[in-house]
Amino acid sequence: MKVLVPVKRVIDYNVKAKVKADGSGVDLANVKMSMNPFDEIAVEEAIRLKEAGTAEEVIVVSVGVKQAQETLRTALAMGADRAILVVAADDVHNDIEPLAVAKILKAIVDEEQPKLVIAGKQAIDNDMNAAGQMLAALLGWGQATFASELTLDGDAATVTREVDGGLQTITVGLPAIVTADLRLNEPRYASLPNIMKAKKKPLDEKTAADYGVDVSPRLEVVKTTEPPVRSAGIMVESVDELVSKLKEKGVV
Amino acid sequence: MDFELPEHASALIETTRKMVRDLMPHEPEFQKTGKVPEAVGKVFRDNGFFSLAFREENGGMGLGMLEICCIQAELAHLPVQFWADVKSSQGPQTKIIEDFGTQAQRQATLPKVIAGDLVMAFCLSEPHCGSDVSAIRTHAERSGDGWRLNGYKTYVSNGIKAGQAVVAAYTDRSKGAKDGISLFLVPADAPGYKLAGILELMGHHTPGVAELAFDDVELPADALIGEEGKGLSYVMHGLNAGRLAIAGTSLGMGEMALEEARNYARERPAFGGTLSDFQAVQHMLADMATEMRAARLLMLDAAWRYDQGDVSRSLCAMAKLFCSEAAGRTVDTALQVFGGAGYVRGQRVERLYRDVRVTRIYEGASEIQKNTIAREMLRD
Repeated sequence: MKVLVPVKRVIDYNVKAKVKADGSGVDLANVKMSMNPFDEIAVEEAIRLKEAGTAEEVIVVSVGVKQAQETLRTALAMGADRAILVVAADDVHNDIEPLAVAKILKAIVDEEQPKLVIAGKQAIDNDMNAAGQMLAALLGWGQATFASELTLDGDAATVTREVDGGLQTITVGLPAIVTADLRLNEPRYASLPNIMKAKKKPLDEKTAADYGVDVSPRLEVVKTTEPPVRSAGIMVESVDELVSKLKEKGVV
Repeated sequence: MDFELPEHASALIETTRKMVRDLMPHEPEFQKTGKVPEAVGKVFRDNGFFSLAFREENGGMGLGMLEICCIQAELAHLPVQFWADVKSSQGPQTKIIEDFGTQAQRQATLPKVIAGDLVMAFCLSEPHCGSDVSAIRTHAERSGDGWRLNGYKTYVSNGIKAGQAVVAAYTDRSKGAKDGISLFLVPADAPGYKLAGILELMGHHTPGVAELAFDDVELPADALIGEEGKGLSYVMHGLNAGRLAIAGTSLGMGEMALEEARNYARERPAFGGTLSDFQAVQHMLADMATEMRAARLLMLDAAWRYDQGDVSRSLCAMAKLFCSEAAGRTVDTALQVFGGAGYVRGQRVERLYRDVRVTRIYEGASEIQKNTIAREMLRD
């Protein structure tokens, strides 16, 4: 069985994001970029399936700028077998929208015929949480999003989902799309020897045009702003005053 | 001219940085107990850190000094004790075995070192001599088919838990240091091998360095490493790489101190603002950053040339000299930025202040590096 894992190159989660002066988005010039943390979890899950003998091959895909090949090399170093880079933008600020990503992924799925796609539930840059679901719709496959546990049994996957208010366990028939939530696993490091070995693993470079997908934006970003700065608090003299202030604010 | 690191080197640094960041939270516990948490060794074992320097045919990664120095600079953010075993796997003791040892000596040691199961010691300094290697008194004479070793060694890093030691000894004093010293591979369980003492240190203060005594240690003929009388040249062979690695160590300590000082200056309230509002502090930060940048470039240049086969004693000595001296100044200034808080036990800069001092001393003191640089300048 082949497993396909899409990965996105995003601003590193340790970087304090700054908004560009013209408000058009987050400034990514000379900013440290890394693999989307949820995608790392997806890669880890796929590698574990391979180590368990359930999967034969793990293919990683990234759609974006050329530098996303560094992200793919990381996935290869973690243990993926080969990579496909789809260059769809030449400026890091040009984010490819979920529908375009899903269409490209659909074309790759048609070619590669994986039985399972494991994706991160969302990318931490724009938190769209859409590409996985859109891909399922385009393919007409079942989907199990927000997975915190995944078990494969023959032609079915049993997935525990993190839903509002608790956990839900569902079974989907394969082929299917699973999106990974935070607690699915703890991803391994790309070990130093494997980083060197990953240099020799195959990485195919394609373009969006190769798949006949138009990646021009359909959404318009109206404005991007920094979160409001927290204003100073006030000191109260007594518990009674605290309670009355809270009542004033209508929070109790 | 391109100053970018190769992509794989950046990836190695990146993954090391990530592991270092994840191991950092173990520091407070370590500062309290002096014991290195289990998790630390596991991360290094699982991720190949003991194999960096060895050639691929021996199960290693075959990395060059450029990568090794950069990785070392990242590791040096952590307490020394966390990565002491990793560093020991790249030391002269293992490289000498790899480059000059017999197949049997390699097989007996390298796979275990790479697995993180064997720490080896390098025994050169003696109580009365360090840089002046010719003055060693340890000696080995022929005994039956093999050798009988006698002597006393000090400042042996990892000597406390070493399973095997590479020991320098005169085999023919009449030939002088150049042709009279030989190296031997001595297992720690050989009768007569004794851990004679432990020296606690100012920094790196646990577990300390060892004094090892060799009293009539009987060794088989195949304990001799390489050829008889070539010991000094084997020791010198690894000198430049060793110096580059210390450049990386000291650089990493300085860079860590700089980062700590910058963060602290931006947070610490002072006179209605933060420390970083004051030009006196700003200039400190600017000086530290400039020195660390210069140090890094000097190291990268020397290491890159070394890997291209352009091994320059002078450039390696300059990198070691400047990185360790600049790191010493940077850590000192960082502590000044912290003020009283930096002088408190358990503070990271306090740890760095103690640890960085020795980088100006070991692998050739700064004065020895200057001798080397001047000698190369004046030679022709």
